[in-house]
Amino acid sequence: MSNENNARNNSPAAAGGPNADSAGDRVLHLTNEVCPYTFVKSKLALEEAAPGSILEIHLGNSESASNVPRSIELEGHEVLGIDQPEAGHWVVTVKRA
Amino acid sequence: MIIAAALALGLLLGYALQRGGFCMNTAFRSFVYEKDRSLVRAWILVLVINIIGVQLLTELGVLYPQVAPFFWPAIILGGFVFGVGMVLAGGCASGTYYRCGRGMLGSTGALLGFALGTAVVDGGALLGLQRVLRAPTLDVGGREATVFNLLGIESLGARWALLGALAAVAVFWLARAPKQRFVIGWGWMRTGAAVGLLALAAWLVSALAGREFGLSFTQPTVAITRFLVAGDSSGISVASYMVIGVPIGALLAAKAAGEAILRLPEPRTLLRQFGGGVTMGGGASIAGGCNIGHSITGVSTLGIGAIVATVFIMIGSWAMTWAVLRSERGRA
Repeated sequence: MSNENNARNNSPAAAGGPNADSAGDRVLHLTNEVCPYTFVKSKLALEEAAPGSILEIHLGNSESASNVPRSIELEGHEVLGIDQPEAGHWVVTVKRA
Repeated sequence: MIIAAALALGLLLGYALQRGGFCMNTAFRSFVYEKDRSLVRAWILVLVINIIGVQLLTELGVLYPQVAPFFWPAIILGGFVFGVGMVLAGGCASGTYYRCGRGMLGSTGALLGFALGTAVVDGGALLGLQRVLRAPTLDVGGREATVFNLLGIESLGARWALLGALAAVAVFWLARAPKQRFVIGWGWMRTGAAVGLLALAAWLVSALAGREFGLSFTQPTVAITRFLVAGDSSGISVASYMVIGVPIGALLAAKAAGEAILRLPEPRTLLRQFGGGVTMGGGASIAGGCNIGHSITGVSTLGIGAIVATVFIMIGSWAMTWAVLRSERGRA
């Protein structure tokens, strides 16, 4: 992960790659990834996560920010929100089913 | 005048692709791996508009579409290789062009790879491979391999009964679509309608210049590459101006939405996308088309070759997505 991505994130678990914070929740940095890796990595991270835990997925292109939550929701997970902290940067917050 | 029309059409297409996030890599992958069908719906809508439009304009004597020969070994192998390549490149041929326009440098790498791959196979070092794989062709009793000829459908009534039935099934399925969630830019319906109408318009603009084919990306890419590298302008056609317009249109759309940002992937990803582009270009030049030339334009001529190529592009993308999932799972 580039420093640029880490600097953008103000979450305590932002030290690059999927990291666990104290609550067991995770942050996934995929701002420089494209389809299909955004989908594949989100899917795998959710598979590994504990039921009920929260995953924060950072995405860097509009296609992924629209397709990834739609796909995740149809898998039965709950999309808690999609924020756009700045242009070209979307944060999808998901609760694992 | 026609050149200006072709550039404008490419510009509008790039705009629509970016606004709609039209990605056939995602559409094809979702058949097997995802439950969301939004991009499949956009593609099916493009096909309905183009199959009906091209067939109608042909009946009216406006178009005389060229049906690509069914050189089956090249279609099957090239289609599969293209499908594998587009997963690694992070986008299909059209997807790579428009993402490159909005500043994704990984897609610029993929586009350079795509141009190299097409030129190596088409007239380059691997020309022999293309010739060997394209030698065996299948036809229907000496006539073009099209759906109508294969089914022995001759009369006007029977042709339109089949087209009407196909369109009815597609429209019925599209009409039952659930409301699309999390839309950024355009939803599937507006995207499919815009790309579909522009693809149909590409047939008409091409016909004005005496080119009897619709939208394509592979041949124009080879032509531009040869012109830039060797000064050979023999392959440059209206279609070349259309593809030049695509990244510019995408840049304008992305600028308006604040998404025109230079973005550099990790070195490994950049290399993967470049390699994917080379693979995609090689496959497309063997198969004689990409996700646009075969899976939209070719299918709208109802050519068997284009339909089989589309199936193998899908199979290639499913196989490669499976491999990516497996390797990422192993790494986790």
